[in-house]
Amino acid sequence: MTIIKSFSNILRTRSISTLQLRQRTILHASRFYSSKVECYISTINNPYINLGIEEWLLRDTDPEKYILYLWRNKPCVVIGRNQNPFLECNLGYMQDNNILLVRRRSGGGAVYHDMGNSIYTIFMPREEFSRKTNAELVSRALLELDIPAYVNDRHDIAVDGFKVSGSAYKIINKRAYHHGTMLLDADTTTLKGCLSKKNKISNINSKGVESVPSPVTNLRNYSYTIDHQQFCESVLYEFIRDYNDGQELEKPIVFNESHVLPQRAREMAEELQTWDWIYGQTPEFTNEIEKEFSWGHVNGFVRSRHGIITEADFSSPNATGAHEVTILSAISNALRDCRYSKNAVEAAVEKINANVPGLINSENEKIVEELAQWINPRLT
Amino acid sequence: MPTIHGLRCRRQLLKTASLLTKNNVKNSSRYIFPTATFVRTPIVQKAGLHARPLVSGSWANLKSSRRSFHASTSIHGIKPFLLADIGEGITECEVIQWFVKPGDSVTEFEKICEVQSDKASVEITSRYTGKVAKLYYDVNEVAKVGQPLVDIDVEGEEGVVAEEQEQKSPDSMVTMEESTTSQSSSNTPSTPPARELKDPSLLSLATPAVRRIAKENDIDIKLVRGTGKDGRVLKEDVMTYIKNGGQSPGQPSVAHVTQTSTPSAEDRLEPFNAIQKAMYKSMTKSVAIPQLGYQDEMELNAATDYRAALNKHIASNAASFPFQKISYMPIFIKCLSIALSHYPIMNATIIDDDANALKLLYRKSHNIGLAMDTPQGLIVPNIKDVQDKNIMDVAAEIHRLTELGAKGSLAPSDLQGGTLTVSNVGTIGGTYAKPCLVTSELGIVALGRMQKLPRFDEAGNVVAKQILPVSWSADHRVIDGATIARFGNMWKNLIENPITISAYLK
Repeated sequence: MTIIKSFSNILRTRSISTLQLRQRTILHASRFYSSKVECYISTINNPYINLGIEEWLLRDTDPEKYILYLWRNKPCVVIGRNQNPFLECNLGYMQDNNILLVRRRSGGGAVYHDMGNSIYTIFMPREEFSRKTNAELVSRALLELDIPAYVNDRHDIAVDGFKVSGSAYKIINKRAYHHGTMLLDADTTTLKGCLSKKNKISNINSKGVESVPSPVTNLRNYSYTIDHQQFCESVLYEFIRDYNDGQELEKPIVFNESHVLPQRAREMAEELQTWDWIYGQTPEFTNEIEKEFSWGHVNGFVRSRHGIITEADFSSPNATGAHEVTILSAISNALRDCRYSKNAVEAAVEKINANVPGLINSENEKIVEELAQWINPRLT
Repeated sequence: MPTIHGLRCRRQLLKTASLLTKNNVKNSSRYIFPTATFVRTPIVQKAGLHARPLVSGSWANLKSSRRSFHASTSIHGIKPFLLADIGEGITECEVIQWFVKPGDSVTEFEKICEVQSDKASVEITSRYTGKVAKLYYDVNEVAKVGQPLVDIDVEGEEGVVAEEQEQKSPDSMVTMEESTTSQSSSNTPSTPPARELKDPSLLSLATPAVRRIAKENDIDIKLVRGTGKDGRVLKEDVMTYIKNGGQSPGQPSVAHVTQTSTPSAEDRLEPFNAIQKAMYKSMTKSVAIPQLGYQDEMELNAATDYRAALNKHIASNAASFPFQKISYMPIFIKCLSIALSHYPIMNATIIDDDANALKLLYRKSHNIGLAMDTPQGLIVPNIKDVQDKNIMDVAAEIHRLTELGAKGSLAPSDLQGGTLTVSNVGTIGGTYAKPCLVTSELGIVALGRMQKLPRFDEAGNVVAKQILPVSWSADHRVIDGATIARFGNMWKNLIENPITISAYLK
């Protein structure tokens, strides 16, 4: 098991000389071309970079190979390719706690990542793709660690009726990958704070994929000793058994902070951080809110596509004052083409002041403030 | 087929479609004219308010199964690119992103769009090289597998009327087969299975790219011998043809599919009839079950006397019974039912649609099946509720089922719902057998031929006994050896001592 020992050294010390690593860098991956199985590990905890590496592995490595990639992230929420972050996460809570929002490239639902959550990605040729096979592989890896895991009918891995791992998939022309999380020892309070819909106060109707919430548990509740290293070793062992006939691999390739990443990985990591990707890929949705103010009842309707407000309509059936009516209609107009966010009303107000100075004046700014206070938290 | 551009709603589509009749379209014999009913189709309904100009290929799609032939014009070489089956039994998925728009050029294997179905995100790459003519779905709309996704204008096909075969295979990312045929008679959509071709000498299979190469080099593609799948002509074949100065190596030049081998005068090819098909299917399923075999022999001397007595009774009360005499079967079957009341697990069935929650359904009705050999083949009707019937009732029922079976007019209810099966192959011959379980049952017994054989009695003398060999098969996932042995013994004791049957009278 020399492979496993060296593996654990890598993860424990994290201080292998960079020279050694550079020598083993991916550019010399041709050394491995005789083996059809490879393993990559990332000790970088930046979710954008890790996803960038994943994308590079998908597109720029040999499609015939089976590759296992193991990683984990600092606290963040990762939503699926076609999900609506305003619906799925509590963005206010996340911003208050410095939790990043990431949109990945595969489908599926929203998950919370932190250092107690290990992630595995298995790459395989497209014809070999099967939802069950790899879920069973990982579940067997857990069985080896004395954890009674099994695959349920949504192809998630569960223990004792609770979900411990969720999966998502991406398929391109010649290749497919299956990646999944594994809750070893994640912070469930923060998880609930980020993802629980009970805290939400908006009324959003959205296209796109909605998450299917399931009760979760940490593997820590079933094993005192499990940790990221053990999990990785066990999965790698099963992976070698299944795809390499038990023959040991040459050493796994490790990415750490000092590594120079391949260009595609860097580009992808950058793209994943842009507003256009994270929010701009949000499918179309509508939000309806209403409130009773002292001067009248206001119904609000906002339609947004690609993260921009395309339509806004704030109106009141019973407000009579001229100021109120003017402000409502001005804001409705100005909100269009603003980004959907908790600063949307501010942006709208600026627009009004720029285009129609004097519309908002000392007489009606109180109304503007009231409206802003009401609308802002509902647009997160 | 004149395409209908720029429609905004279904109403316009219907109106325009109705204007296109056989009378006012030139060359109308080339096209298929769907009636107004065709317009109410999944595609149009899914379109909601905006109708999509229907490419002629899809008219025929709507009409019948996707395997039908249809005539589509290739005046502009527009090919509908269908959304291929992405596997996993998924029938529809959402379009998330388009990478091309109408008017863009696209090459084979270039990304066209990304679709998503719950957790899987799939990139669809183009099958053709050409220009994108039309996108069928907007972002966030649901695309159906097997329906057109985009239209691609493939160059190099002008003026040829092509017949296209569409295949539903999951493998359809591979280029489609194409064949050219003469124009006259082939417009009526016929639905032969995908591989049968009408007139082999006129058809040759090649992808559009290969055709273009052949055309550029002034080669008649029909003369090139194809080495691809089903005799398909590949690019290498054309190159070899050119290199060999216009000669195809080896075999005669026309490459076409020969589906099944032409039968000789002695062989005879017959498709399965319904009974054979059913047997094929059920036996294939049965093989997945681990079957425990258990074989024994029964002494039928006492049963023979018992039966003789019963027959005497029938003869003297001929009016009360629809039959003149009974065989051993009613006795065997009734004894089986008595044994089943003591071993109800033999009458159960496994409910395993949820692999995590396997259940056994203990059935109250003893519907005992009787395998019958009819002129059409093997059928297994069952006698319902044997637990509530006496031996004579069972005999009457067997009589009724045999008559119907010989005529081939058994009702489906007679054939369904069996819980245990008996097969009396011994009437034809044989001793021990290995019967195959009916998949919804847990046990089956086959009776061999009764023979007079020497056996020892209690005093050690050799006496002649009527011996019937009996072979059981049981589902070893549920039934173990002890159970089947005890069950078999109980049944055997009842038959070897028919007097004891009366102990179970209710």
